[in-house]
Amino acid sequence: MNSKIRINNKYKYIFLVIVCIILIGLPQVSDKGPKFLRVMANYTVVPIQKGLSGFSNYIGSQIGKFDTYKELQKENETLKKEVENLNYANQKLSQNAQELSRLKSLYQMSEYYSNYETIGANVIGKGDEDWFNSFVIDKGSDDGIKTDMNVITKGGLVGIVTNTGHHYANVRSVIDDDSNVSAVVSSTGDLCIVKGNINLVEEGRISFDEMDNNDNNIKIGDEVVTSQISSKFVPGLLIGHIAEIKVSSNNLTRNGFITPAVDFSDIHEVLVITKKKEIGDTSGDN
Amino acid sequence: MKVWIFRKLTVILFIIAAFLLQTTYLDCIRIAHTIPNLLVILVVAFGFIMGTSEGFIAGITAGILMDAMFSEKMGVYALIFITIGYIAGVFAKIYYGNAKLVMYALTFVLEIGYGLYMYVVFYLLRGRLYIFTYFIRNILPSAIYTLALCFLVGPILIALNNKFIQYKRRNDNYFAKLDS
Repeated sequence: MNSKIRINNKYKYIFLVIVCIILIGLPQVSDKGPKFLRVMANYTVVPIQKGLSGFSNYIGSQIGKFDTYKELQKENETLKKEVENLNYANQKLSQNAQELSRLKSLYQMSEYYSNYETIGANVIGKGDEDWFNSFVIDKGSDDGIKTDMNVITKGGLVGIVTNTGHHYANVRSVIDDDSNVSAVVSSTGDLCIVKGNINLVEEGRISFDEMDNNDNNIKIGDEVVTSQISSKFVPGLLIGHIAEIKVSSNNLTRNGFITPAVDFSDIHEVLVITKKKEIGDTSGDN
Repeated sequence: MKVWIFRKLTVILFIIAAFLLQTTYLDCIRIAHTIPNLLVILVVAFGFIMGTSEGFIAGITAGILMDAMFSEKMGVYALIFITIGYIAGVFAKIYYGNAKLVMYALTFVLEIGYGLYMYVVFYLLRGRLYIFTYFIRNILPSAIYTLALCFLVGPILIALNNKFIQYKRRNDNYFAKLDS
Protein backbone atom coordinates (compact mmCIF):
# COMPACT_ATOMS: atom_id res chain seq x y z
CA MET A 1 0.00 0.00 0.00
CA ASN A 2 2.70 2.38 1.09
CA SER A 3 4.90 1.77 -1.96
CA LYS A 4 1.87 2.15 -4.21
CA ILE A 5 1.24 5.66 -2.89
CA ARG A 6 4.86 6.61 -3.37
CA ILE A 7 4.89 5.50 -7.02
CA ASN A 8 1.69 7.41 -7.50
CA ASN A 9 3.29 10.61 -6.23
CA LYS A 10 6.39 10.05 -8.32
CA TYR A 11 4.29 9.88 -11.48
CA LYS A 12 2.35 12.92 -10.38
CA TYR A 13 5.61 14.80 -9.92
CA ILE A 14 7.00 13.74 -13.29
CA PHE A 15 3.72 14.74 -14.92
CA LEU A 16 3.80 18.20 -13.32
CA VAL A 17 7.43 18.74 -14.27
CA ILE A 18 6.70 17.80 -17.87
CA VAL A 19 3.75 20.21 -17.91
CA CYS A 20 6.00 22.98 -16.58
CA ILE A 21 8.74 22.30 -19.12
CA ILE A 22 6.21 22.23 -21.96
CA LEU A 23 4.79 25.54 -20.73
CA ILE A 24 8.25 27.07 -20.63
CA GLY A 25 9.14 25.62 -24.02
CA LEU A 26 6.03 26.58 -25.96
CA PRO A 27 6.38 30.27 -26.73
CA GLN A 28 2.70 30.72 -27.57
CA VAL A 29 1.45 29.38 -24.26
CA SER A 30 4.42 30.76 -22.41
CA ASP A 31 3.98 34.33 -23.58
CA LYS A 32 0.20 34.45 -23.45
CA GLY A 33 -0.22 32.45 -20.25
CA PRO A 34 1.19 35.15 -17.97
CA LYS A 35 -1.19 37.67 -19.50
CA PHE A 36 -4.12 35.54 -18.48
CA LEU A 37 -2.62 35.04 -15.03
CA ARG A 38 -1.96 38.75 -14.75
CA VAL A 39 -5.61 39.52 -15.39
CA MET A 40 -6.49 37.11 -12.60
CA ALA A 41 -3.85 38.56 -10.30
CA ASN A 42 -5.12 42.03 -11.06
CA TYR A 43 -8.44 41.33 -9.37
CA THR A 44 -7.21 39.13 -6.54
CA VAL A 45 -3.71 39.71 -5.26
CA VAL A 46 -2.83 43.20 -6.42
CA PRO A 47 -5.59 45.10 -4.54
CA ILE A 48 -4.48 43.48 -1.28
CA GLN A 49 -0.86 44.31 -2.04
CA LYS A 50 -1.86 47.91 -2.61
CA GLY A 51 -3.69 48.03 0.69
CA LEU A 52 -0.85 46.42 2.62
CA SER A 53 1.90 48.60 1.28
CA GLY A 54 -0.27 51.72 1.66
CA PHE A 55 -0.83 50.81 5.29
CA SER A 56 2.86 50.22 5.96
CA ASN A 57 3.75 53.53 4.32
CA TYR A 58 1.20 55.25 6.57
CA ILE A 59 2.62 53.62 9.71
CA GLY A 60 6.16 54.45 8.65
CA SER A 61 5.27 58.10 8.11
CA GLN A 62 3.51 58.27 11.50
CA ILE A 63 6.52 56.80 13.31
CA GLY A 64 8.80 59.07 11.37
CA LYS A 65 6.95 62.13 12.69
CA PHE A 66 8.12 61.74 16.26
CA ASP A 67 11.85 61.16 16.13
CA THR A 68 12.61 63.74 13.50
CA TYR A 69 11.50 66.93 15.23
CA LYS A 70 15.02 68.09 16.14
CA GLU A 71 16.37 66.94 12.83
CA LEU A 72 13.67 69.01 11.19
CA GLN A 73 14.80 72.16 12.97
CA LYS A 74 18.38 71.62 11.89
CA GLU A 75 17.32 70.73 8.41
CA ASN A 76 15.16 73.85 8.27
CA GLU A 77 18.15 76.10 8.93
CA THR A 78 20.35 74.42 6.40
CA LEU A 79 17.52 74.50 3.92
CA LYS A 80 17.00 78.21 4.40
CA LYS A 81 20.63 78.82 3.53
CA GLU A 82 20.30 76.49 0.60
CA VAL A 83 17.22 78.35 -0.63
CA GLU A 84 19.17 81.57 -0.75
CA ASN A 85 21.90 79.92 -2.76
CA LEU A 86 19.39 78.29 -5.01
CA ASN A 87 17.51 81.51 -5.59
CA TYR A 88 20.69 83.05 -6.81
CA ALA A 89 21.50 80.03 -8.96
CA ASN A 90 17.95 80.00 -10.25
CA GLN A 91 18.20 83.57 -11.45
CA LYS A 92 21.33 82.75 -13.34
CA LEU A 93 19.83 79.58 -14.75
CA SER A 94 16.61 81.24 -15.85
CA GLN A 95 18.68 83.73 -17.78
CA ASN A 96 20.56 80.83 -19.33
CA ALA A 97 17.31 79.01 -20.04
CA GLN A 98 15.89 81.99 -21.90
CA GLU A 99 18.99 82.13 -23.98
CA LEU A 100 18.89 78.38 -24.49
CA SER A 101 15.26 78.33 -25.59
CA ARG A 102 16.04 81.05 -28.06
CA LEU A 103 18.96 79.08 -29.45
CA LYS A 104 16.97 75.85 -29.49
CA SER A 105 14.11 77.32 -31.46
CA LEU A 106 16.81 78.60 -33.73
CA TYR A 107 18.08 75.07 -34.27
CA GLN A 108 14.65 73.47 -34.03
CA MET A 109 15.89 71.07 -31.43
CA SER A 110 13.25 71.77 -28.84
CA GLU A 111 11.68 68.40 -29.47
CA TYR A 112 14.58 66.59 -27.90
CA TYR A 113 14.57 68.37 -24.59
CA SER A 114 10.89 69.18 -24.14
CA ASN A 115 9.30 68.42 -20.79
CA TYR A 116 7.93 64.91 -20.85
CA GLU A 117 4.44 64.27 -19.55
CA THR A 118 4.43 61.87 -16.63
CA ILE A 119 2.10 59.76 -14.53
CA GLY A 120 2.86 59.39 -10.83
CA ALA A 121 2.79 55.89 -9.33
CA ASN A 122 3.53 54.19 -6.02
CA VAL A 123 5.77 51.15 -5.60
CA ILE A 124 3.57 48.37 -4.19
CA GLY A 125 5.75 45.27 -4.38
CA LYS A 126 9.10 43.94 -5.35
CA GLY A 127 10.71 40.78 -6.66
CA ASP A 128 12.55 38.41 -4.39
CA GLU A 129 15.85 40.03 -5.30
CA ASP A 130 17.28 42.03 -2.44
CA TRP A 131 17.52 45.43 -4.13
CA PHE A 132 14.97 47.18 -6.25
CA ASN A 133 16.12 45.32 -9.34
CA SER A 134 12.56 44.87 -10.44
CA PHE A 135 9.44 46.06 -8.74
CA VAL A 136 5.69 46.52 -9.17
CA ILE A 137 3.90 49.88 -9.40
CA ASP A 138 0.21 50.57 -8.83
CA LYS A 139 -0.67 51.95 -12.26
CA GLY A 140 -1.32 49.75 -15.27
CA SER A 141 -2.58 49.66 -18.84
CA ASP A 142 -5.96 51.14 -17.83
CA ASP A 143 -4.12 54.18 -16.46
CA GLY A 144 -2.28 54.65 -19.74
CA ILE A 145 0.92 52.75 -18.94
CA LYS A 146 2.42 50.71 -21.75
CA THR A 147 5.37 48.38 -22.04
CA ASP A 148 8.72 50.14 -22.69
CA MET A 149 7.70 53.39 -21.05
CA ASN A 150 10.54 55.00 -19.10
CA VAL A 151 10.33 55.32 -15.34
CA ILE A 152 12.03 58.16 -13.49
CA THR A 153 12.08 59.51 -9.98
CA LYS A 154 13.11 62.93 -8.76
CA GLY A 155 16.80 62.05 -9.07
CA GLY A 156 16.87 60.57 -12.55
CA LEU A 157 16.26 57.44 -14.59
CA VAL A 158 15.00 54.42 -12.62
CA GLY A 159 14.17 51.90 -15.33
CA ILE A 160 11.67 50.74 -17.89
CA VAL A 161 8.24 49.09 -17.82
CA THR A 162 8.61 45.44 -18.83
CA ASN A 163 4.98 44.33 -18.70
CA THR A 164 1.61 45.62 -17.60
CA GLY A 165 -1.62 44.41 -16.01
CA HIS A 166 -4.82 46.42 -15.88
CA HIS A 167 -3.88 48.27 -12.73
CA TYR A 168 -0.26 47.40 -12.13
CA ALA A 169 3.00 47.20 -14.07
CA ASN A 170 6.42 45.62 -13.63
CA VAL A 171 9.48 47.86 -13.83
CA ARG A 172 13.06 46.71 -14.43
CA SER A 173 15.58 49.12 -13.00
CA VAL A 174 18.83 50.17 -14.67
CA ILE A 175 20.93 48.43 -11.99
CA ASP A 176 19.42 45.08 -12.96
CA ASP A 177 21.84 42.64 -14.53
CA ASP A 178 19.58 42.42 -17.57
CA SER A 179 19.57 46.15 -18.25
CA ASN A 180 21.45 47.84 -21.11
CA VAL A 181 20.97 51.54 -21.78
CA SER A 182 22.49 53.54 -24.59
CA ALA A 183 23.84 56.70 -22.97
CA VAL A 184 25.88 59.79 -23.69
CA VAL A 185 28.27 61.88 -21.60
CA SER A 186 26.59 65.26 -21.65
CA SER A 187 29.77 67.33 -21.46
CA THR A 188 31.56 65.77 -24.44
CA GLY A 189 28.87 63.87 -26.35
CA ASP A 190 30.64 60.52 -26.19
CA LEU A 191 28.27 57.58 -26.57
CA CYS A 192 28.48 54.52 -24.34
CA ILE A 193 26.40 51.58 -23.16
CA VAL A 194 25.40 51.53 -19.49
CA LYS A 195 25.01 48.02 -18.13
CA GLY A 196 23.71 46.80 -14.79
CA ASN A 197 25.96 44.27 -13.14
CA ILE A 198 25.17 42.09 -10.17
CA ASN A 199 28.74 42.34 -8.89
CA LEU A 200 28.37 46.11 -8.53
CA VAL A 201 24.89 46.26 -7.03
CA GLU A 202 26.15 46.21 -3.48
CA GLU A 203 28.56 49.08 -4.10
CA GLY A 204 25.63 51.01 -5.57
CA ARG A 205 27.30 51.44 -8.95
CA ILE A 206 26.62 50.52 -12.54
CA SER A 207 29.18 49.93 -15.26
CA PHE A 208 29.53 51.38 -18.72
CA ASP A 209 31.68 50.46 -21.71
CA GLU A 210 32.01 50.72 -25.51
CA MET A 211 32.94 54.39 -25.25
CA ASP A 212 35.31 55.59 -27.96
CA ASN A 213 38.89 56.04 -26.77
CA ASN A 214 39.30 59.49 -28.30
CA ASP A 215 40.91 62.72 -27.15
CA ASN A 216 37.86 64.00 -25.29
CA ASN A 217 38.76 64.55 -21.68
CA ILE A 218 36.08 63.01 -19.52
CA LYS A 219 36.32 63.90 -15.86
CA ILE A 220 35.04 62.10 -12.80
CA GLY A 221 31.65 63.58 -11.91
CA ASP A 222 30.56 64.24 -15.49
CA GLU A 223 26.87 63.68 -16.13
CA VAL A 224 25.73 60.64 -18.09
CA VAL A 225 22.28 60.91 -19.70
CA THR A 226 20.25 58.71 -22.05
CA SER A 227 21.19 59.23 -25.68
CA GLN A 228 19.22 60.18 -28.76
CA ILE A 229 20.03 56.94 -30.54
CA SER A 230 18.53 54.75 -27.83
CA SER A 231 15.66 52.68 -29.16
CA LYS A 232 13.66 52.56 -25.94
CA PHE A 233 14.74 55.44 -23.73
CA VAL A 234 13.76 59.03 -24.42
CA PRO A 235 16.84 61.28 -24.58
CA GLY A 236 18.16 63.52 -21.84
CA LEU A 237 17.27 61.54 -18.70
CA LEU A 238 19.99 61.67 -16.06
CA ILE A 239 21.42 58.23 -15.29
CA GLY A 240 24.27 59.21 -13.00
CA HIS A 241 27.75 60.60 -12.74
CA ILE A 242 31.05 59.08 -13.84
CA ALA A 243 32.82 57.54 -10.87
CA GLU A 244 35.75 55.84 -12.57
CA ILE A 245 37.00 55.64 -16.14
CA LYS A 246 39.82 53.69 -17.74
CA VAL A 247 40.96 52.56 -21.17
CA SER A 248 39.95 49.02 -22.09
CA SER A 249 42.61 46.41 -22.75
CA ASN A 250 41.94 46.57 -26.49
CA ASN A 251 42.92 50.27 -26.50
CA LEU A 252 39.94 51.13 -28.72
CA THR A 253 37.30 51.79 -26.12
CA ARG A 254 37.00 53.10 -22.61
CA ASN A 255 35.00 51.65 -19.75
CA GLY A 256 34.34 52.38 -16.10
CA PHE A 257 31.70 52.90 -13.49
CA ILE A 258 28.81 55.28 -12.89
CA THR A 259 27.28 56.33 -9.59
CA PRO A 260 23.54 56.33 -10.27
CA ALA A 261 21.58 59.49 -9.53
CA VAL A 262 18.81 57.47 -7.85
CA ASP A 263 19.11 55.74 -4.49
CA PHE A 264 17.98 52.27 -5.47
CA SER A 265 17.80 50.91 -1.94
CA ASP A 266 14.82 53.15 -1.14
CA ILE A 267 12.19 53.93 -3.78
CA HIS A 268 8.59 54.74 -2.89
CA GLU A 269 7.15 56.94 -5.61
CA VAL A 270 8.08 57.03 -9.29
CA LEU A 271 7.03 58.93 -12.39
CA VAL A 272 6.28 57.13 -15.64
CA ILE A 273 6.97 59.08 -18.82
CA THR A 274 4.02 58.59 -21.13
CA LYS A 275 5.97 59.49 -24.25
CA LYS A 276 7.41 56.38 -25.82
CA LYS A 277 10.42 56.26 -28.04
CA GLU A 278 9.45 54.36 -31.16
CA ILE A 279 12.24 53.69 -33.60
CA GLY A 280 13.86 50.53 -34.81
CA ASP A 281 16.45 48.79 -32.73
CA THR A 282 19.66 50.56 -33.64
CA SER A 283 21.70 50.85 -30.50
CA GLY A 284 21.29 47.43 -28.97
CA ASP A 285 19.84 48.50 -25.64
CA ASN A 286 17.02 46.82 -23.84
CA MET B 1 -16.79 20.02 5.39
CA LYS B 2 -14.49 17.14 4.63
CA VAL B 3 -11.20 17.47 6.42
CA TRP B 4 -8.98 16.91 3.40
CA ILE B 5 -10.63 19.69 1.39
CA PHE B 6 -10.30 21.98 4.39
CA ARG B 7 -6.61 21.08 4.69
CA LYS B 8 -5.96 21.89 1.05
CA LEU B 9 -7.84 25.18 1.21
CA THR B 10 -5.84 26.11 4.29
CA VAL B 11 -2.61 25.35 2.44
CA ILE B 12 -3.65 27.58 -0.49
CA LEU B 13 -4.71 30.43 1.79
CA PHE B 14 -1.47 30.24 3.76
CA ILE B 15 0.59 30.35 0.58
CA ILE B 16 -1.34 33.38 -0.75
CA ALA B 17 -0.87 35.15 2.58
CA ALA B 18 2.84 34.30 2.54
CA PHE B 19 3.16 35.64 -1.01
CA LEU B 20 1.52 38.91 -0.01
CA LEU B 21 3.80 39.23 3.01
CA GLN B 22 6.84 38.30 0.90
CA THR B 23 6.21 41.07 -1.60
CA THR B 24 5.22 43.77 0.91
CA TYR B 25 6.04 43.54 4.62
CA LEU B 26 9.08 41.26 4.64
CA ASP B 27 10.95 44.24 3.25
CA CYS B 28 10.73 45.75 6.75
CA ILE B 29 12.89 43.00 8.31
CA ARG B 30 15.62 43.20 5.70
CA ILE B 31 19.12 42.79 7.12
CA ALA B 32 22.13 43.61 4.94
CA HIS B 33 20.12 43.60 1.70
CA THR B 34 18.76 40.15 2.49
CA ILE B 35 15.16 39.13 2.99
CA PRO B 36 14.10 35.61 4.00
CA ASN B 37 12.14 33.49 1.58
CA LEU B 38 8.85 32.78 3.31
CA LEU B 39 7.39 30.91 0.34
CA VAL B 40 10.15 28.30 0.41
CA ILE B 41 9.66 27.85 4.16
CA LEU B 42 5.94 27.25 3.73
CA VAL B 43 6.21 24.92 0.75
CA VAL B 44 8.85 22.82 2.53
CA ALA B 45 6.84 22.79 5.75
CA PHE B 46 3.57 21.78 4.09
CA GLY B 47 5.31 19.11 2.04
CA PHE B 48 7.17 17.78 5.05
CA ILE B 49 4.46 17.94 7.70
CA MET B 50 1.33 17.20 5.69
CA GLY B 51 2.65 15.07 2.85
CA THR B 52 3.52 15.15 -0.81
CA SER B 53 0.07 16.05 -2.15
CA GLU B 54 -0.12 19.13 0.10
CA GLY B 55 3.46 19.89 -0.99
CA PHE B 56 2.27 19.82 -4.60
CA ILE B 57 -0.68 22.10 -3.85
CA ALA B 58 1.57 24.55 -2.01
CA GLY B 59 4.20 24.42 -4.76
CA ILE B 60 1.69 24.95 -7.56
CA THR B 61 0.02 27.87 -5.77
CA ALA B 62 3.32 29.58 -4.97
CA GLY B 63 4.63 28.91 -8.48
CA ILE B 64 1.55 30.31 -10.23
CA LEU B 65 1.57 33.44 -8.05
CA MET B 66 5.26 34.09 -8.68
CA ASP B 67 4.87 33.37 -12.41
CA ALA B 68 1.93 35.76 -12.63
CA MET B 69 3.74 38.63 -10.97
CA PHE B 70 7.42 38.31 -11.73
CA SER B 71 8.07 35.98 -14.65
CA GLU B 72 7.91 36.53 -18.36
CA LYS B 73 7.60 32.81 -19.02
CA MET B 74 4.96 30.50 -17.61
CA GLY B 75 6.19 27.72 -15.37
CA VAL B 76 9.65 28.92 -14.42
CA TYR B 77 8.81 29.41 -10.76
CA ALA B 78 6.18 26.66 -10.75
CA LEU B 79 8.82 24.08 -11.71
CA ILE B 80 11.12 24.85 -8.78
CA PHE B 81 8.35 25.20 -6.21
CA ILE B 82 6.72 21.92 -7.24
CA THR B 83 10.13 20.23 -7.01
CA ILE B 84 10.68 21.67 -3.53
CA GLY B 85 7.27 20.44 -2.39
CA TYR B 86 7.92 16.98 -3.82
CA ILE B 87 11.37 16.63 -2.24
CA ALA B 88 9.97 17.71 1.12
CA GLY B 89 7.23 15.10 0.73
CA VAL B 90 9.75 12.37 -0.05
CA PHE B 91 11.71 13.27 3.08
CA ALA B 92 8.50 13.17 5.09
CA LYS B 93 8.08 9.50 4.09
CA ILE B 94 11.58 8.73 5.37
CA TYR B 95 11.66 10.83 8.52
CA TYR B 96 7.99 10.91 9.44
CA GLY B 97 6.55 14.40 9.68
CA ASN B 98 7.45 15.50 13.19
CA ALA B 99 11.27 15.56 13.06
CA LYS B 100 11.68 19.33 13.35
CA LEU B 101 15.44 19.35 12.88
CA VAL B 102 15.15 17.54 9.57
CA MET B 103 12.63 20.15 8.45
CA TYR B 104 15.00 22.99 9.33
CA ALA B 105 17.91 21.33 7.54
CA LEU B 106 15.68 20.66 4.55
CA THR B 107 14.58 24.30 4.42
CA PHE B 108 18.20 25.43 4.46
CA VAL B 109 19.32 23.03 1.74
CA LEU B 110 16.29 23.62 -0.48
CA GLU B 111 16.64 27.41 -0.17
CA ILE B 112 20.22 27.02 -1.43
CA GLY B 113 18.86 24.83 -4.23
CA TYR B 114 16.24 27.49 -5.02
CA GLY B 115 18.97 30.14 -5.19
CA LEU B 116 21.10 28.02 -7.51
CA TYR B 117 18.10 27.41 -9.77
CA MET B 118 17.42 31.15 -9.90
CA TYR B 119 21.07 31.72 -10.77
CA VAL B 120 20.94 29.17 -13.59
CA VAL B 121 17.67 30.46 -15.04
CA PHE B 122 18.22 34.19 -14.74
CA TYR B 123 22.02 34.55 -14.98
CA LEU B 124 23.81 31.47 -16.30
CA LEU B 125 21.53 31.14 -19.32
CA ARG B 126 22.53 34.68 -20.28
CA GLY B 127 26.20 33.79 -20.00
CA ARG B 128 26.90 35.43 -16.63
CA LEU B 129 29.44 33.23 -14.90
CA TYR B 130 29.98 34.82 -11.50
CA ILE B 131 28.46 31.97 -9.52
CA PHE B 132 30.84 32.50 -6.60
CA THR B 133 29.91 36.13 -6.00
CA TYR B 134 26.26 35.31 -6.42
CA PHE B 135 26.53 32.45 -3.97
CA ILE B 136 28.33 34.47 -1.29
CA ARG B 137 26.22 37.58 -1.73
CA ASN B 138 22.72 36.29 -2.41
CA ILE B 139 22.25 32.57 -1.89
CA LEU B 140 24.06 31.98 1.41
CA PRO B 141 22.77 35.03 3.34
CA SER B 142 19.20 34.44 2.28
CA ALA B 143 19.48 30.73 3.16
CA ILE B 144 20.73 31.60 6.65
CA TYR B 145 18.07 34.23 7.16
CA THR B 146 15.40 31.89 5.85
CA LEU B 147 16.56 29.25 8.32
CA ALA B 148 16.27 31.78 11.14
CA LEU B 149 12.72 32.66 10.14
CA CYS B 150 11.93 28.97 9.83
CA PHE B 151 12.70 28.52 13.54
CA LEU B 152 9.83 30.92 14.20
CA VAL B 153 7.34 29.77 11.57
CA GLY B 154 7.98 26.01 11.70
CA PRO B 155 6.50 25.31 15.18
CA ILE B 156 3.37 27.30 14.31
CA LEU B 157 2.76 25.17 11.23
CA ILE B 158 3.41 21.95 13.16
CA ALA B 159 0.89 23.06 15.79
CA LEU B 160 -1.61 23.79 13.01
CA ASN B 161 -1.14 20.32 11.57
CA ASN B 162 -1.63 18.76 15.00
CA LYS B 163 -4.95 20.60 15.22
CA PHE B 164 -5.98 18.99 11.94
CA ILE B 165 -4.98 15.55 13.15
CA GLN B 166 -6.97 16.00 16.36
CA TYR B 167 -9.96 17.24 14.45
CA LYS B 168 -9.79 14.30 12.08
CA ARG B 169 -9.53 11.84 14.95
CA ARG B 170 -12.57 13.35 16.61
CA ASN B 171 -14.50 13.09 13.36
CA ASP B 172 -13.38 9.51 12.79
CA ASN B 173 -14.53 8.59 16.28
CA TYR B 174 -17.84 10.25 15.56
CA PHE B 175 -18.40 8.21 12.42
CA ALA B 176 -17.18 5.07 14.14
CA LYS B 177 -19.84 5.59 16.80
CA LEU B 178 -22.51 6.09 14.17
CA ASP B 179 -21.55 2.80 12.55
CA SER B 180 -21.71 0.77 15.71
